[in-house]
Amino acid sequence: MKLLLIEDDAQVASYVSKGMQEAGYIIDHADNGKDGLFLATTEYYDALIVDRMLPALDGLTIIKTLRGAGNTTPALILSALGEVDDRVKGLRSGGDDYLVKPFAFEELLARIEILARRSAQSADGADTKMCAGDLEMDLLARRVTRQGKDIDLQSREFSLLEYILRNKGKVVTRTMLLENVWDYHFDPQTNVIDVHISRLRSKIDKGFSTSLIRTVRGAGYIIDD
Amino acid sequence: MQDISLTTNRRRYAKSSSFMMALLFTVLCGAVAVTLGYFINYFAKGHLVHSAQAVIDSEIKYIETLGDIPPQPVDDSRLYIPLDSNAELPASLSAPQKFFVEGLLVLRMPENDKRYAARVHTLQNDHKIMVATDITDMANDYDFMQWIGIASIAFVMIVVFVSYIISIFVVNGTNNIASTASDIIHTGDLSRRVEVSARWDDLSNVGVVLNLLLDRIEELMHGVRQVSDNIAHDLRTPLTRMRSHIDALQKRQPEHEEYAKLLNEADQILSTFNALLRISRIETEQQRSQFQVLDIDTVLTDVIEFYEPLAEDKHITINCDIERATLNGDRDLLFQAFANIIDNAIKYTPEDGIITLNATKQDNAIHVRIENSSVMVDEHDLPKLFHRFYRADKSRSQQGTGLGLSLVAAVIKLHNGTVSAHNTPNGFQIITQL
Repeated sequence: MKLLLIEDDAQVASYVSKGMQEAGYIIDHADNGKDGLFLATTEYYDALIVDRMLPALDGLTIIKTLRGAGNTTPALILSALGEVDDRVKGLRSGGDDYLVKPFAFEELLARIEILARRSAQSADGADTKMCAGDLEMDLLARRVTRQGKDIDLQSREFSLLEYILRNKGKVVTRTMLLENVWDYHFDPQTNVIDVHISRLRSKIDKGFSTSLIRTVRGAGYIIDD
Repeated sequence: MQDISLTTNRRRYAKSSSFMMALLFTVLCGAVAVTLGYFINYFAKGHLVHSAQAVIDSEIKYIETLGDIPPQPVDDSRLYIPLDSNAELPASLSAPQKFFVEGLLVLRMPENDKRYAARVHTLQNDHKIMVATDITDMANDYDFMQWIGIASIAFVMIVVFVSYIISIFVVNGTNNIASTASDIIHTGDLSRRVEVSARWDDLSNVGVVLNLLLDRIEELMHGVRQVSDNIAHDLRTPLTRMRSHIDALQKRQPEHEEYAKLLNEADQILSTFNALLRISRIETEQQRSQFQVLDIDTVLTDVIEFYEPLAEDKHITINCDIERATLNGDRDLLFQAFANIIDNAIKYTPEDGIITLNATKQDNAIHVRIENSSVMVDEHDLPKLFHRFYRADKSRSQQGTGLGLSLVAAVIKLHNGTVSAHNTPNGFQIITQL
């Protein structure tokens, strides 16, 4: 997987590059908008990480230009500005995700993994059946079974499990769950998400020896086979 | 939000000091005029009557000394008019005008238009004679005095009227200034100014000076906000770097527990800065571009649903009564605001407590009442709950930034609503009006 980072802050750039390399990505870095746009149009990348405020050419213009030219490489916008308004502007200009500085690297990594993978399997279409280990989820029948035994989930718990399953093998962060399962961009003052997860866990793990959803410290949750 | 009732600032007209002053002056002026008028009238009349009586008395004495000789007046200021036995006045004379005192009457002579005071006297031969003396000058003076009396009463009336007008003007002017000031206190909108229509009067001058003061305050407030924003903004970047360094260290040496604690501390500071910046952005930018018509009941239900597990862990019952209602607003911000209130409620409700959420539509406004069982908050502290970094528990033992309710206040204000905190028999209540 190959990423392009367009970021003028050397500190952030080295932090992100190092982290991504450790996570197994190949990462190119451009420290201004012009070079970034040039790289993005001439090379193939699985995902772009674009800072909003850049010398020469700002992040939103880069993404708009790429989309205008038919380039659909998923792009994540990094920004020091952090209000909903900026987020919406960013997403409207063709960005696929938006992350406000300062961010935890795990958050960025989790989001990039999902973006990059989305581009790789966008042709597959949505699955109607998903599984993780002995857990199966049927989206059409809205049924969840483990080892053939029915698990009764409330609708929000179902959506929560669905989102985690869709991103099987990838870390999903708490913010990602908030944005995608609850569909609100907000900052919970307490870790309510953890309570929701623990309830979901108690339902799907009850009576079974293995716990399916694992907590990744400092990052979020992951489900594996 | 501070709840200063308007009535204390916008004084009732009748209670205002200007009106009281006007009333006092009117009463004093009136008393002076009445007293003066009374004495003038009394003395002038007394003087007139007494001197007329003295003249007539001496004339009568003079006539009596003459005996039967028909008396002749010394000059034309005296008149002796013989009357017939019926004591009727000759037809040539005009009817007596009025009595000053018993037995004294005033005549107006048609031929020379002079006025006379007269008394009828019965002579020894049973003939009646009317003795008259010219009082034209004195009567004119008396009339003049009376006229002055009437004029002074009229003048007092004018004074009353003018002072009434002035007091209305002054009261309106002060009320205008007071209401603008209280509006500013209420809404926190420092861009409001006192309306100044003219510049000739003192009140307009006060208004102008007050506006200059408001300009200055606004400038200073803006400056303070700018500084705190800049501090938060500028400290955020190095803090983020520090956080990433700690993060890197932790990855290298995951066995050290201290790194996790440090990370946690850094995250706390960052989240405080973020919350602070967020509030100031909502307050200053007044962005309403994300406003859309939304179902507030859905937002409230989502908030409750989101926090339910947390409440259940503390065995707190949440009772909801939510009426369907739509409003124009920012979905995410409203969710955040109500989430903060509920989050707070859950934090401060003891185990097995109750939280009641009640949303009703009342004349175009949506009232959301969130009540939770908890200990009473000191009445003085209630409005301060919405201040930044304010905490009712002085110990600051509860986790959190102390900015939750400030954010609520900022969001609700953005939606032109109000939010207030109250103590209730069951605990503590936050009322939001949108």
